Amino acid sequence: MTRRPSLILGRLIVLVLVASSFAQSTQAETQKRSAVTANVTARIVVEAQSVAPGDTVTLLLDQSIREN
Amino acid sequence: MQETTVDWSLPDGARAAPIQWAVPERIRVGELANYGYAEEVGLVVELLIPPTWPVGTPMPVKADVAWLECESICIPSYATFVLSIPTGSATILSGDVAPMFAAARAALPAPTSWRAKVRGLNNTVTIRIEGPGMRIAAIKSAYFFPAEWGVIDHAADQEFIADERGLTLTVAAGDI
Repeated sequence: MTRRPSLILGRLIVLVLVASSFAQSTQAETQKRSAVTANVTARIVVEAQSVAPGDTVTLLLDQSIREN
Repeated sequence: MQETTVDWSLPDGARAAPIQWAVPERIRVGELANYGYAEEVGLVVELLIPPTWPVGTPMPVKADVAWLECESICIPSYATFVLSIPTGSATILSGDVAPMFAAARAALPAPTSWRAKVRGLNNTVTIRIEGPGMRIAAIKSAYFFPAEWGVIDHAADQEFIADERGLTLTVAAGDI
């Protein structure tokens, strides 16, 4: 049985996490140890450092998972 | 199984578009198959700032995100993100994150003018794709990702045949 995309740890592969160098005001991040013995990092990053009202800005939900 | 979801809490007039999914992988688990992402994925969402939002005032955004983490089994996971989006008289992109966003956009499915005809017969779904600009010789593989569960047998192999005018995918039908 299948469904639409989800974050999948199909293979435990060591990840290289993207270095965090963004302004805190435009990024929120969470990191934790998951029940599948892996570290999961999820964050939302904003593409713009400033947005004009009425404009559309792109957000990125970035999820990564790595073996402990 | 459940796809990643985002429950947005936004000021009046702000709107978040649906998630733009990157092309997933098909991941076999025993006799089953699933669609998802290994290692890392970037999911793109467009967010409208209300035209009436006061310039210079950061706009608060709260996002409750739920997803599945899987190995041999899948478990649900949740996180709440609180953002403050700076506003100004002009939209200024951040160069620091440009490569990340470029990679995420490159991972999105690309639209095409090719036409597809789908036919279901005898527990088989046949998808015929033709269109201008198809470089048949350059197509080394093809896979049909359905948007809904049950249309095809997701774990079954998909037969791919290319000819001079297009390509044909033959897929075992699903439960519905």
